[in-house]
Amino acid sequence: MSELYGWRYVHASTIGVAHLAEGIECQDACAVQQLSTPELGTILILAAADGAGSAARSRTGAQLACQTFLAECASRLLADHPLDWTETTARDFFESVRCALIQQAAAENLPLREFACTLLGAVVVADHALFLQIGDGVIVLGAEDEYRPVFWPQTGQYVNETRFVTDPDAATYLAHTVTVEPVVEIALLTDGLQMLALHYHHRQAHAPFFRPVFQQLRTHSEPGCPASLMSALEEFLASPAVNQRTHDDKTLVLATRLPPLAPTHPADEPDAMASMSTPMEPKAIAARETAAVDSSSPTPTAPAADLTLSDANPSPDASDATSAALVRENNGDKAL
Amino acid sequence: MNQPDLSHQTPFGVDFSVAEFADNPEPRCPCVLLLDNSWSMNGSPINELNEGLATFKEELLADSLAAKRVEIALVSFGPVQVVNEFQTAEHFTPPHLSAQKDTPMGLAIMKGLELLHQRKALYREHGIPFFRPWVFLITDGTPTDEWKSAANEIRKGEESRAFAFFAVGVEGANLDILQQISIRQPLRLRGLRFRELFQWLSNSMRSISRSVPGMDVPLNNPTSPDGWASV
Repeated sequence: MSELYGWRYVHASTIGVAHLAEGIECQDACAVQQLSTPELGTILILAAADGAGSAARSRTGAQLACQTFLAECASRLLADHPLDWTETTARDFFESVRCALIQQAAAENLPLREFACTLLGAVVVADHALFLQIGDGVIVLGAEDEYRPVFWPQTGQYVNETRFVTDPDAATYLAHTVTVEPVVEIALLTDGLQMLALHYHHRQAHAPFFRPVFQQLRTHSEPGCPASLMSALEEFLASPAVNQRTHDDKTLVLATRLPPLAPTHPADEPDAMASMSTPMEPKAIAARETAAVDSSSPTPTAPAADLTLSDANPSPDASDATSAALVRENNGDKAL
Repeated sequence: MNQPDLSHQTPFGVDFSVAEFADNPEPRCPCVLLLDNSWSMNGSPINELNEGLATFKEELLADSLAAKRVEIALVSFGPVQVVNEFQTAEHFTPPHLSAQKDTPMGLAIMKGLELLHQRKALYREHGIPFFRPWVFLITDGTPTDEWKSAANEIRKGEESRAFAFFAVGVEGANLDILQQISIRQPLRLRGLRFRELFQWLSNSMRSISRSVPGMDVPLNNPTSPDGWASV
């Protein structure tokens, strides 16, 4: 592990233009916590959640889901017994999150479904990691130049359907896994960014999305999560370029522990760099334990994008010509 | 933990806008129109229907997202003819239908469902996400062919949520049979309000085509006092 550096991470949830237009709050949430134990060394815990649009308290649901996941992982890791990395552990974490939502619903005397949200969770230590997911969104792992989704986003039969932590049968859809390889770069994102960051046809992560953002993160050498990174990420998520492609809320969580890169200042974008220069305080950042949950920040303009479909039984009676036309038409979409 | 090399520390901020976006096709929202052009539609009904189709396209084009996401296929019956294969709204050319012969509704439904089946296969093959399809039938008559197997396909499709099927009866339509064909309550068109019908249909398609998981899709009630339909 000697070649690994401290984690640099950043996370933000930004309101989508559709919610902004309707005066609805951002229903995405995310959180990251770094801690360390004598047995495991540095531990990074990451969570992201997307609250359901039609659920009255889904913002609270999403925030509570992230906080509970972090708190539950931290308390287990800091307890006498180290985390036993089994899939039962993932189920336990999920149940804790669900319980917290059930309790919140009871406390507010509301149906559980009013707190509906998805959940992406990851716990990363030196040489292994645990992941869980319910619903859409994606966790992507990177290693220098290769990026892969841990799970493909869970959708229902149609693009506007997914699973939520609060579904009665949610446990049956929980995706979870434990890996025993070192994770050096990880991203979590909600469905608002899925169409931008995933390649649907081949079911892959879109490397040109992840490579540059991780490289930017790596130009930052100081471990932790400084405010300047957060504001740069928020600015990106609220940018017209993003909002032209998605009108949903969007969350991006990024963390890297690869060696720092020399900053490459794109010569062709001097204005972008200048507008964003916030000097940072080198020493104040070395946070040992940082926990934060964020939501929202405003934006203007534009149309949408979302998910995938999970059922597959291709029976292409359709001719190649139709097929080609469909794809041509698709490529034409981009121009608009 | 290792001390990172701080020599690279820069006073400049980090710029995440360097991300390049994936070029995925837009999700699709398929809509099959099954339109009766039997002889009894002759005159005002067929003219109003044609005007309604033009309105349908106009209204979808007014919504840049719907224009790219809603895909329309059109089968006329009287006799059965595939007038338009699936095309996005921006490429859809509203036809000029003329009233012709009988009312082979059963065959028209089977043809429409077959087109839909092929389209879904194509979506899956290309990894294109899609919304629940709508099949929308408009008739002023009684089927002149065998319709029970079509009714059976509709029941199966609705049960598996493969599509949503809607039937609209223009004056003279046999609502009893439509009731046996459609799981959902067939609607009766008020007068010749085809334009309002297609405005409603385009609004519904617009709502669906921009819906995201966990969101209710708002649809207007067409049977409200100023709506185009009655039960």
